[in-house]
Amino acid sequence: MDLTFFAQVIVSGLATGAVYALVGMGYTVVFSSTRIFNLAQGQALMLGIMFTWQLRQDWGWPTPIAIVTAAVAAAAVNVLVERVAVAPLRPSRNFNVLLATLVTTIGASTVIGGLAVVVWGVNAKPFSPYFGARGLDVGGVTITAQQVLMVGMALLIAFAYHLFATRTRWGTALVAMSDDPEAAALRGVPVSRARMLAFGLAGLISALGGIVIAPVVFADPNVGLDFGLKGFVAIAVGGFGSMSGAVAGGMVLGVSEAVTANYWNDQYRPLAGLFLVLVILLIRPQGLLGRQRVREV
Amino acid sequence: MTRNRTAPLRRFAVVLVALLAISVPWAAAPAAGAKGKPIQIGFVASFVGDYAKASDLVRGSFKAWVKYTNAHGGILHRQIKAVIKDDEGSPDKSIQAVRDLVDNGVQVIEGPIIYASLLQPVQNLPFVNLTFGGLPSLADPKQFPNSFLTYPRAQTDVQNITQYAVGKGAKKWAVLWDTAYQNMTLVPFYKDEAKRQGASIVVNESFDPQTVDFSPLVRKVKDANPDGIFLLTVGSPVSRFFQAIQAANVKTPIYGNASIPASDLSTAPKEVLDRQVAYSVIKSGILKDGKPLPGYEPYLKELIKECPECAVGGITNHFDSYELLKYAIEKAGGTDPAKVRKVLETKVKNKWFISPAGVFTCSKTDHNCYPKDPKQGLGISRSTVSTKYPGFFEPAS
Repeated sequence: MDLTFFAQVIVSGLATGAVYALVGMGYTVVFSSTRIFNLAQGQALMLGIMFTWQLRQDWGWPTPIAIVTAAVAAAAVNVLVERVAVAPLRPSRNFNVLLATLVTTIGASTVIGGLAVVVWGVNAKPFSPYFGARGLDVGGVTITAQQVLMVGMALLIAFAYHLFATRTRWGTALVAMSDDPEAAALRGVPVSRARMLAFGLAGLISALGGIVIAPVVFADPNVGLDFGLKGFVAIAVGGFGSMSGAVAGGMVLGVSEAVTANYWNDQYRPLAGLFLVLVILLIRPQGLLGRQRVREV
Repeated sequence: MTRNRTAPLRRFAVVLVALLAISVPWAAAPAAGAKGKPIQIGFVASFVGDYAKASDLVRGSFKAWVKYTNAHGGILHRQIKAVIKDDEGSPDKSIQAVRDLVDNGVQVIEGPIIYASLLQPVQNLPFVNLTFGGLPSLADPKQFPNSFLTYPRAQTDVQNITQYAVGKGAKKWAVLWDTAYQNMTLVPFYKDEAKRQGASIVVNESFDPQTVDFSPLVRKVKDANPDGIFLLTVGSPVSRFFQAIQAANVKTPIYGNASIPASDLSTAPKEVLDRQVAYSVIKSGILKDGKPLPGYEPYLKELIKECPECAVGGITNHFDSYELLKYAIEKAGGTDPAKVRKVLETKVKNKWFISPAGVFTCSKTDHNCYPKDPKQGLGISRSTVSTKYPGFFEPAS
């Protein structure tokens, strides 16, 4: 086996996997604090791309301002999803909120995707690269600034979120909510606002994922569902509710896709994720870094 | 009491004149005129996905031709009604689009642009389609009795670019193709040409057009050290591939087929485009040295109004196709598919249809109508990105 080529495949897989990880982290932030899957999470990635394209390329805003504004705007849309598609649903004996939100957030995803097509058209628009294309040769392996950005952003966000969850009051509140929302509320956690915060942060994280990958996927209003699905596979592989699991799951998915495409057949790339989930569910149902929750009754 | 003897005659004359006045327009209408109803011409292309830009160009030329022709009397004194369908880049939807058109009474169709070679399931329907896809199976009436090829052959495209590459010293080829049907079917021609021209294919790799990171593929190419890269893809992968080529500092010349100039290349590295890329030209642009190409002047004004960027692309061949269809409808006296097919397959009054590109000849055994010895079009272009129309190639002078 040519080791240089193998290393190039791994670099490529890690870079793509980093974006899956960012979407997966978005799911995790919401799920770990609310026990809800926001299936509109992939659309936050898409909105991150489209808002940045609109501000940076169409309106000519400076790149940093465009990126920050776009990420915040995508986060705001995710909060709106929470207000419209999740908050009105209240749990009761005969009503399963988790199942209901699966339906309502899919609905929100469809609406956001449809509106994006109405606003920006159905076709992808070229997205100018942030850096020159020239790569760095490291022992025969080409590494580009774009790849470093993708992996670096995923690691940076995972680390920043860890600090937020462990060192801040709001972070602790989100963790408390995940264990027992009623107990958290009794101890003074403003549950409704905390849930909005979780959706906002999740939107911000996934939007940043979109912003870093935009130069390679272009400004395409149709990417939300695809990346949303990949992000979900990432957390299924890495473990539901675990940030490090989302990162690991995303990277493993990215690498397995790259290996499948380059050593087998590019057309089987989508099968890599499905096969991976199947294997993980069989041998470690809680995911690579997930923990089994045991509740005493 | 006197009686005017001439009164009945006068009345008779008035009635006769009135009857004649009513009947003249009907009599003047052509036999197949079907009461002056517009002639419907279908048009199927992919306005979604990587072929969208190419399809936009062709649609622009079609609409410009319809406007021009309608302003100059239409066909058989009837206006043309363009019925445009989007197959959204899907083979199944392409077939469905043709079905829908036929169900709605459309009997003649331009296109589909990409998936014409997959129309076999609908060959029993009553329609005739003039297609732009240059794949050889389309010219075989046994497989495709309804389809006529009005585009230079795909083999011509491949021969053109490979001969140019060999002339530049490229004897070890990397053939890279995306898994879209159109590109897949081109690969055997490269194998044939390699054999014919004494070259070898050292890399023959497919890739998913959705590929985000081309660095492993480029690594594979770099390791094989070819002296020419043939890239068969269209749309966004072209830019992404060129970025990976620059990242890996690969200087090997890249030879493209006609799809490359139809892609939006505004984010492709300019250095790579200017230094390394050459592509095959199998049809001329409507402008040459800033002036309309002889024979196509009439359409230019409408074209620039309808689709300004279309003048940069090589679309003269599409006007040839539309004119061929007009000729066939006129000679057939309408759009009856059997009659249109007969006109296309045989000489009318000992003559074939002639366009500025040459003589279009089809037969009952060969539906490839494009001139066997075209007067213009075939060539190679090394081009730069247009400054006037960002994202487009502009033929180098």
